[in-house]
Amino acid sequence: MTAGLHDAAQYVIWRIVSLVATLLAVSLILFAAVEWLPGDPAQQILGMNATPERLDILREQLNLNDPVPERYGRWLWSTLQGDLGESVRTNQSVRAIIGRPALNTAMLAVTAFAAIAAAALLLAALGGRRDGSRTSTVISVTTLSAVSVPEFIIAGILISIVGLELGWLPAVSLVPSDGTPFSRPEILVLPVISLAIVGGAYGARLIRAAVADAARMPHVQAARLAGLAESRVLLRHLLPSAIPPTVQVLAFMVPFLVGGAVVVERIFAFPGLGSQLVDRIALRDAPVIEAIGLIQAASVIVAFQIADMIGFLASPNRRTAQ
Amino acid sequence: MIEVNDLEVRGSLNAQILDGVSVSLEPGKTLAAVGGSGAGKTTLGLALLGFVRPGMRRVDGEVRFDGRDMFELPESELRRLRRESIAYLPQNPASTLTPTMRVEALIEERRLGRSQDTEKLLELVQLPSDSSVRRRFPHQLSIGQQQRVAMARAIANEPRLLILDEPTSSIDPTTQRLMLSLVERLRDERGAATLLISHDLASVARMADDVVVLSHGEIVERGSALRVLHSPVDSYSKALISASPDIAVDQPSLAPDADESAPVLEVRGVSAEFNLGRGRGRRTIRAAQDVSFDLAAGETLALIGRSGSGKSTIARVLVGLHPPGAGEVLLNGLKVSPHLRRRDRNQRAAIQLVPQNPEESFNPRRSVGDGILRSIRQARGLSGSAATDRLALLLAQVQLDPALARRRPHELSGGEQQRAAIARALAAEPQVLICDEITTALDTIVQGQIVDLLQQIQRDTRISMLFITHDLALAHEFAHRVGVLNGGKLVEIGPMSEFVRNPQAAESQELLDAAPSLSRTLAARRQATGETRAIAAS
Amino acid sequence: MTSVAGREVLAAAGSRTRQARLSLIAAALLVLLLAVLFMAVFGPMISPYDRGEVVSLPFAADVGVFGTDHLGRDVLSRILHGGRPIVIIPVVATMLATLIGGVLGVAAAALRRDDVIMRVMDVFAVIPSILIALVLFHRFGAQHWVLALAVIIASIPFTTRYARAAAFPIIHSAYVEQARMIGESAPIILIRDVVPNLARPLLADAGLRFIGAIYLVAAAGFLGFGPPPPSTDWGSMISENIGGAGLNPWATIAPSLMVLLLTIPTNLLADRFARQVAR
Repeated sequence: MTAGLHDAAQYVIWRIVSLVATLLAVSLILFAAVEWLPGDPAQQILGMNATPERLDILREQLNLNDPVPERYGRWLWSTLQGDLGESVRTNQSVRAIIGRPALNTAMLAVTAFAAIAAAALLLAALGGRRDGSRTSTVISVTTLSAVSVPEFIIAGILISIVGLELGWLPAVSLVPSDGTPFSRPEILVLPVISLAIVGGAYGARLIRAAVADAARMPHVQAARLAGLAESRVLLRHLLPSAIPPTVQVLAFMVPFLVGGAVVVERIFAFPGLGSQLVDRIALRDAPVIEAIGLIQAASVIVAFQIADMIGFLASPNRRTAQ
Repeated sequence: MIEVNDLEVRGSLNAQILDGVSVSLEPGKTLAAVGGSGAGKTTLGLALLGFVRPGMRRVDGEVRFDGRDMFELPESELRRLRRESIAYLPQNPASTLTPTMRVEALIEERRLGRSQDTEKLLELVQLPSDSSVRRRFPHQLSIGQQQRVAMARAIANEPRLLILDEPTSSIDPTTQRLMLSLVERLRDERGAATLLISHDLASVARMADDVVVLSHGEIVERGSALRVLHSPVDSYSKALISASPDIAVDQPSLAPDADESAPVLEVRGVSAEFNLGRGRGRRTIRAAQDVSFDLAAGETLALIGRSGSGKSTIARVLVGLHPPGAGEVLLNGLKVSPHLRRRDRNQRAAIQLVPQNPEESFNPRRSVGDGILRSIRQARGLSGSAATDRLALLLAQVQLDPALARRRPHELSGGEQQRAAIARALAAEPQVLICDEITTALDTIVQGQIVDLLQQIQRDTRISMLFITHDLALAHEFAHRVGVLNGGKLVEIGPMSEFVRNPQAAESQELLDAAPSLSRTLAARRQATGETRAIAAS
Repeated sequence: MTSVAGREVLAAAGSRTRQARLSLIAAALLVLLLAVLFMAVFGPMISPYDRGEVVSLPFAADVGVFGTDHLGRDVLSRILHGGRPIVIIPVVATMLATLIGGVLGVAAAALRRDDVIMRVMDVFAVIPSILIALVLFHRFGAQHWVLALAVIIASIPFTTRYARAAAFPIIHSAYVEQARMIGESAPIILIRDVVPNLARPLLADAGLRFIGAIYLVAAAGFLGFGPPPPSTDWGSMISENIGGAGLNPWATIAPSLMVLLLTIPTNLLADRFARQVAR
């Protein structure tokens, strides 16, 4: 047992090390990508009529004349200390700029994730119960078609019909200035549906495949031939083997949400991180872009790590030593 | 108790799997089903559970358990029957253990009110009944322990019907004896009926009361075990029984006409290890330790050992796929490089390997003939019509229809694949042919044909053979000398005839005891029944 | 007895007609997909108006087949013009991504120390592809090759991972070992043994990758990074006209339908092919 504990501790340490290493690599690429954006920040701030002297002074203030590795190091160091810096456009702190949008996006993403997980698990259960049955075929074709519909098309259809034609729900998701999306939940409905149809269908397909793989394992067949109750076969013999791949599939929904949110926020004019990202890249507002990119990448990495840890805990043969 | 009547099962493309099979099992009796691969034995075993594998379907017939047709029972009744009255052990018993459940939960869920408690069951299978095993997950136990847990789980419901599907093929001798005693206990205490599916005729002779011989889904012969195994009537039964290797049957003098002067191959102090897993879970296995032996021209040396004894590693060292940590390999007295890449064409050609699984050794997208041709070109530098002529010659030598050589590997039967693999090895005109468990996947009759073929080739070409196997009885049929491997060490080596009479190492003795002998078992059973008759008469 | 046998024959025949029906559906999907591809490529030649030509008031619903767009241009003509980028860019980008991913994946599977390649791929897999695409658009403008590059960068982590998984068992197979044992050279083994066996799984993966590529190109158009005006693609058309959905819904619905007519048959066919390969 102590050996098992030791193993688990070793595993957690290993996970954290790999998490930090990946984040560092991501930060480097982000920084390089933003550096690579066209235009001179000083020129953009001061406009075309700025004198060379004033440009030089601003460049000096912004440390733009320092070598790139040094600036990367300085940025990384302050970011590690929780200081995300200031926008080069508005002099507001990055924290203030992205705070509200981050909260808005988090609420949208969490709601969408819950909807996706519920839809995926339900459809996988319905479709996976009997392979080859009519329900299973219908669900298979429907999910496969739904996977093929980009979320902005679903959003467009929803806006046209539910928003504009019928007027049941707001076509534009404006968040009240003194509240959060949860204080006006109706604005979340259409964006969440847009994301959940594709995500839920995709998740359902992969989870169903994972469960079908588990059902083919010899120990599941053996449990059936041992005459155990079907509920016991499912709960004790089949599903535990399907947990790690299922959690992997759900984790994979996080990068999908990160990318999908950018488009869906745009179409519903939802004030989230995705909308900010699109705007700030156009403005070449380096500190804000980098902060948003880091947040997005970190959520993906953390999701993958959590999925791996759940898979680890659910697999005794990984968790405990020989 | 159980009646199978006219059972007909078909597979994909309507292929006949079982064709009108009828058997009956009586309480306290053991029925054995024997036959080649594809005879339908496993399908018959599963039918006794009221189960037909996906992709197959029952076309006709019934399986009556206590008079009720299992295939007509409602789902819940069938489940209860399996739960309360039947135990099933498939070929690889350890695979029935759910990896996410602890041993005690696995056994507990199969127990019934009448059953012994979990401690007792573990004791029955000779495992410690304290928490050292009970609280563990299957992967934390050795494979032998896992097999015992699977047995305890199977019989935890004190069944009236036992279905054992090739139980001995993956189990070591001690576990085999244990399984036998469990079957006997259930037979005596519960009056259980047993269906034993096996290709090992010696264990059938030991355990079974009656035998059915299956061939292509049909029963070709049935009768008491002693009668069928001793004097079969059907031609297929005869072939099956005569092809079955028997350690106790003396072989005609096997002295090779080898010249003792200079060995073709010399192995000097070879040690090899390999790494299992990667990263954190990495372990180093010492697969061979200071192994030395010679091989003369025209001689066959059998290397015997259990799985994990290092047999295959030595084969890989010899062909240069696994550079050894220490030691050297000499060919015709000259040292060859441990690395395949640094051997020249003649050195590579001189030592050829016939692999355990021939199908996987051929590119699945090309014909097997193409694979043989490639060897002809690469090893002998032939091309054009010279190469195709050589191919025709090789196919004739291994008795493979040239039409089959145009097919892809998966379109051939196991025996045909193995002939093609032998032809490919011979294409290089080697001096040494290494056969690594080449008959393991074949059924007894085909195995006999392949062994005959190898002997024929050796008579014709005076090739040296290293025959690697776990099957001592098979090796005994045609190897001149034998070497025994245990834990990577060569514990004994010597002429086969002396070895079977007087083994030196403890491991050798064990292998010899475990080696099947139909004749010896039959004799023992006859004597036993004779004695009981005598007692009954007096 | 005969009745049971008869039922079985019927069942077998039934499963055969089911098979036939399935391949009929597949054939129909293929025809549909080819029609859409054909229209996308040759559409500009049969278009009634030019893509930039103003024919009526904005969002006029009663002009032509699908009415007019937000600038009063003929929607049908713009749909016929807007297919090329959304078809050709994903096709080219998917082919290149599969090729590059295939090479990297085979290298990772063949090398003992494959961690470096896979670690780099892991890092790129967690950076949002839309961010990379946006940076590229700002750097180089929304040109066709930039879109293709964005798709390639977004796809390579996944094609590489897939190719490595598919190549590993092939490279470590008994038949490759056999070829090595008779002294076959590495390039020959690659050409004769590895590539032929890798081609089908890679092709199956490319089919699924292609959908993602269409997504990204359409989404880029939707975010305003479509081809420069008056050129267009179906994604851009949706975003241009969604504001007028109340006046002329067809200006939004028609391009949406075109995207779906491209993605749904592709996905159904790719899934079917991937299943056949897996079998």
